[in-house]
Amino acid sequence: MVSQFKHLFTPLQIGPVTIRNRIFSPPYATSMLEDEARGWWDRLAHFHAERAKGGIGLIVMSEVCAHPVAVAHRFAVLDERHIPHLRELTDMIHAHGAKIFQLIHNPGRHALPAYSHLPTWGPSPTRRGALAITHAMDHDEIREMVASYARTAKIIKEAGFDGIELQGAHGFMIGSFLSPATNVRSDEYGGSLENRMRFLDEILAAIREQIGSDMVLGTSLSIDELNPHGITVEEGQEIAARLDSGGMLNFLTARVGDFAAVPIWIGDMRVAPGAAVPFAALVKRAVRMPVLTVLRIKDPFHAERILAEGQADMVGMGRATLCDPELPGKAESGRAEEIRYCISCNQGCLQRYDQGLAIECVLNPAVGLERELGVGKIAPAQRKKRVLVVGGGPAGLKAAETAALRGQQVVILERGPELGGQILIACRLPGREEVAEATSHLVGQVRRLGVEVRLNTEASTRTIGELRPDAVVIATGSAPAALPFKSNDRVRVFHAVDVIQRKVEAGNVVVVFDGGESHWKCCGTAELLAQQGKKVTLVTFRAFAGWDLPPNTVPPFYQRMAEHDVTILPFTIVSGVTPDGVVVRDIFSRRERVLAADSLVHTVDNEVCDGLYRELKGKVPELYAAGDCVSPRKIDSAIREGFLAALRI
Amino acid sequence: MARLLGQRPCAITVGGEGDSFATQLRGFGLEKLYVLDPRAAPQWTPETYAQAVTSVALRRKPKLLLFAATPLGSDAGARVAARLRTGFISECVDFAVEGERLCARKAVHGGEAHMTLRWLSPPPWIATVDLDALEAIEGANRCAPQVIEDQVTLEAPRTELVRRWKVDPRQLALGEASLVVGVGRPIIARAQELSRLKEAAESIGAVLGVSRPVTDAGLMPKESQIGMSGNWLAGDVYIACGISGSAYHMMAIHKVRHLIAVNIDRDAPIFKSAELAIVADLFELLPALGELSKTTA
Amino acid sequence: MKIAVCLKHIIGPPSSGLAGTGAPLRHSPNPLDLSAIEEALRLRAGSGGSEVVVVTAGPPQAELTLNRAIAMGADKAIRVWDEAMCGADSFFTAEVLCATLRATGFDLILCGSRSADTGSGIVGALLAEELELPLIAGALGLKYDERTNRISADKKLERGVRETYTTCLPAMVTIEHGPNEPRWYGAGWVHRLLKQKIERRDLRWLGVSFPAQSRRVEIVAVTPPRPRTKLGVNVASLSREEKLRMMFGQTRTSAGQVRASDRPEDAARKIKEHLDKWLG
Repeated sequence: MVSQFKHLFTPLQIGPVTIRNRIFSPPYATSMLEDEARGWWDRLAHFHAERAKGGIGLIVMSEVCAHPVAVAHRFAVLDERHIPHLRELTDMIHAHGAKIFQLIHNPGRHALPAYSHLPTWGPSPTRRGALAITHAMDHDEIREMVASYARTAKIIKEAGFDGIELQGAHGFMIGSFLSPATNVRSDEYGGSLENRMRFLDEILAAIREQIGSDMVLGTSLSIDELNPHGITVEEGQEIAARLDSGGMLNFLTARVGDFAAVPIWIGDMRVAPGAAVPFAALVKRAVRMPVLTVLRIKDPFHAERILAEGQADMVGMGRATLCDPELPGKAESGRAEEIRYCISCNQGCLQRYDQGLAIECVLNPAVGLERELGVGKIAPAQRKKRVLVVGGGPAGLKAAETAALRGQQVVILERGPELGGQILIACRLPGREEVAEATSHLVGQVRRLGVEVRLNTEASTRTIGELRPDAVVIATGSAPAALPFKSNDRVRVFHAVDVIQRKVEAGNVVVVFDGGESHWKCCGTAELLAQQGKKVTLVTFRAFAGWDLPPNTVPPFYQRMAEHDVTILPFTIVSGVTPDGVVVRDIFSRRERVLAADSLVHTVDNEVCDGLYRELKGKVPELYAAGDCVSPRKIDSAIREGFLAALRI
Repeated sequence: MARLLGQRPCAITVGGEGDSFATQLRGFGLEKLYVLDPRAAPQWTPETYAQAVTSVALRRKPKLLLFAATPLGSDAGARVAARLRTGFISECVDFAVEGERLCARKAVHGGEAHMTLRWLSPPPWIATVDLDALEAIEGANRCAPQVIEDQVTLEAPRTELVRRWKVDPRQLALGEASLVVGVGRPIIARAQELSRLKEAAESIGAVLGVSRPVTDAGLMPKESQIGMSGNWLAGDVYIACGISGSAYHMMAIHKVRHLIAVNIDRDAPIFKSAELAIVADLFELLPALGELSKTTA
Repeated sequence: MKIAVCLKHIIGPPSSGLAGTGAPLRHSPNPLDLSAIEEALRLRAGSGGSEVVVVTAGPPQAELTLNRAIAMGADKAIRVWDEAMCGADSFFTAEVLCATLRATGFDLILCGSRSADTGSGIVGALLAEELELPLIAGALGLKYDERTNRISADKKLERGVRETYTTCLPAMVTIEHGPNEPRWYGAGWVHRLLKQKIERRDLRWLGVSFPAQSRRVEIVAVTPPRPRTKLGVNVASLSREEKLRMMFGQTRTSAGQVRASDRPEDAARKIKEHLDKWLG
């Protein structure tokens, strides 16, 4: 069948390697490397094999760093013992028709001494945005580091990888030598561009000596560090051009940003789709070798455009294939509307990684559990049952989708006029429309799978009894608790969700209180009110607003709050509402004062809506509860519990 | 491209407002604009355009004569090349100088390969250019081109343009339509009103499209989808109703000339990019617009 | 009315994915020329006593394509070829076709507006120029008025706009993809294929010699497709603040805001005003 993605599925030649399409998975750390006793590389092998099976052309695996000083989280320093295990991994990838490169990472100045117990190494003794002051490497240490790259490359070659990518971007070790912001050396490794490139050049030469020319070698590079003291786009292009003519490299991944710009280069949904593509296009004009681009590209149609306009040769879709490993296959076989799109929330992946946990995906409960729950591992139902799902939010939709995939006969009862649950509220926060794709996709899925959907239908014990289901999944969600404060003549009190849904309009001087957790419900509401032109004060009992958000989304949030002139009061709670305004109290000094305001918008915690579940206990053959109706949490719990409930039916 | 050859770029146009057109062209790096009197031909058809351009080319002796690969440009360009019996390369996607000679590259065999060609005949070299392959460059040189009024005397044309008309919008694909109305999320919960909105769109001569959540919900078929994974618009006017304006949607409509946004949220992001921003309920506004068109038609 | 249709036989690379595997080349008729034959057959049906003659300048394999034309319903098929024509460019091919058409005679000549292989799209214009005929290019849907001996055709422009052109016969018309799909077989096709002979001619018979003037265009290279890089936004010209705004999707693209939050009727009126102004 001729695919509508002409460019996306044209093979690409990188050096001696032919890659079946233009989609690659950029290297992202997963923290899925286990202890030897627990299987070591096996979990990762199945994780990546799932994506290879799903049709991706190239995987660039992370998890490996060059040297013990360069360890962060669960990175591995390779030695011969790894080879047979990595061989199994590469064999699995190759068996599915994909190619695999290995990243040699080296966090350099941004390594984590908590893991390595060693000082961090770099070109110059600066702190500049790193956790610790860097130890400036002397010539012996530079030689040692170059040698460890070469040694690692040799092991990678023996393990059957098709190529190697160096991490040269974002101010990690190689990047820190390249950047004048972090490299103030006065010897031959600092100063002029040629000198700053010397470290990288030596590494490239040493690696080539080990691997020869029948293996691919490439590097990623920050074309623009977005730092006035760092690499600017002119110098980035020059570096790219010199590497191109140097003849050592087979490809270049064009990235953007120094380390501090991580809110951009692992951008959440506020970062524009394909934000780094214009930088890749500039590099494409400067070099002849293939140029790879990555950042917020999750849609095969978008990827096709990028390729059609000659802006890059391959497109990175990391989080996109984390969320839906079958994305390339679905696109190629004309089933693009079945793709489960990544919503770039950063909650399942990056937020967990920052906490030292293995990454997951809020929309894909099988991440990390491919051996047990991966594609094709879900057993069809032994007997076709009549399954009733009460509640059309993410938990109910996921349960319905999974049950239908297993061959059950499924009916969804939804009280409102539309499916989507609280996602319909969440997507109305500023800049968060993409969240709606989580349920939009499931709505399409249940329709395609023949699930019967009854909207505007309230479920009761009686109506459920009449339907005589074999199994019932209750996904009735949660609703905001009562407001703890009362309005008066001069100051009105609102629920945040009512403001978000535009059911009410707040006044002109508003206090927003994150009375529950400090997440998007309150932060987004503050932003919405500020956009509406109100004067906003955001009161939080936490150390900062957005305490529960993925950390790399907080600086941009604060930037936006500053631009809107929003006042943020940390370590503060709202203790009352009077005709003069809103009373706030510092939680440590316990001093109270009155903020002049005409409105208080309160993000109260939700309460479960589990009445129906309690009534039905013992009255139906199988009864399950999933999502917020068990305990008000977030979308990942809803999706996971809906999924698991349907698996048990 | 003229920089490639070390030449000076000029343009030929027909029309009365040469000066204002010239001002619009400032920044594109044109040196001269030859303006022809519209009365030189009874009708401006590919035949008369071709005659006029041939006449100017014979006198001004350009090295390279470029036409856009549009229906008019391809037609006129071929006629000029046939008249001047000079080399003609159509639908070029790129140009380059190899050695001393100018080469043009185009897609062949349905895009399966690219062929690089060059002219052997003496100038003027004639080519038509695939507009999709290019991007407009507004350069640093912001001078308006010098306007030169040129005279041409044309023979009587042998073909006649009888009428110019517009196809019924209902028969057009979204990507071809001049006027498109897009409807977003709000319709999902009010599916019963869809036929009223379709009627209203028809009354104003627009094709109705929807955003992806609406097709996901099954209210309209995929062919009606406007967006990154649906139809990309290239028309004159797009009226986006109840569409917040996500980056993906904006990418798919970036070629539209005029954007009107209708949204009940005062702070809908799409308002930042719309030429005309209307805060209103689309379920009241669209039918009102339809009624208005019916009564004034 | 004698309608001559110029038909090109295309020899192309094997389907994508098979290139370089030794798979055989693909032979096919130029699709737009088939549309031209379809238009000719429709005109013939509409006016009694008309004849459709199909002419191809091509090697022996081109007879595959001529057979297709005969099966569709062409009355006559002529193939012109000479070794000297190998690698002929559009200009030489047009010369040969002209000589053949002069010898055959015609009232109307049709051909596709461009060929699916290298597609320069100039042959129609060259024929019109050489034979001194009026030309309508890129037409869909031809109509013939016997009374006035005029042919009329619609031309498709952008954004749903169409134009209708007419001219007197004899004339040259090139054909674009239109609503009429080329048929596979006309009535009595088996009989025609068995009985009808393809007339074969060479340059000597036509009285044409290899052109004194050499090729006007030559092929330098054939490469895999490589799109020209579009920058989109030229980030080299942006300040740091502008880059950050761009990456966070905060660029404003238009000036000239007109906000209205009136009654629906007033807002509708405002929109209508703008529509009238912009759509004319």
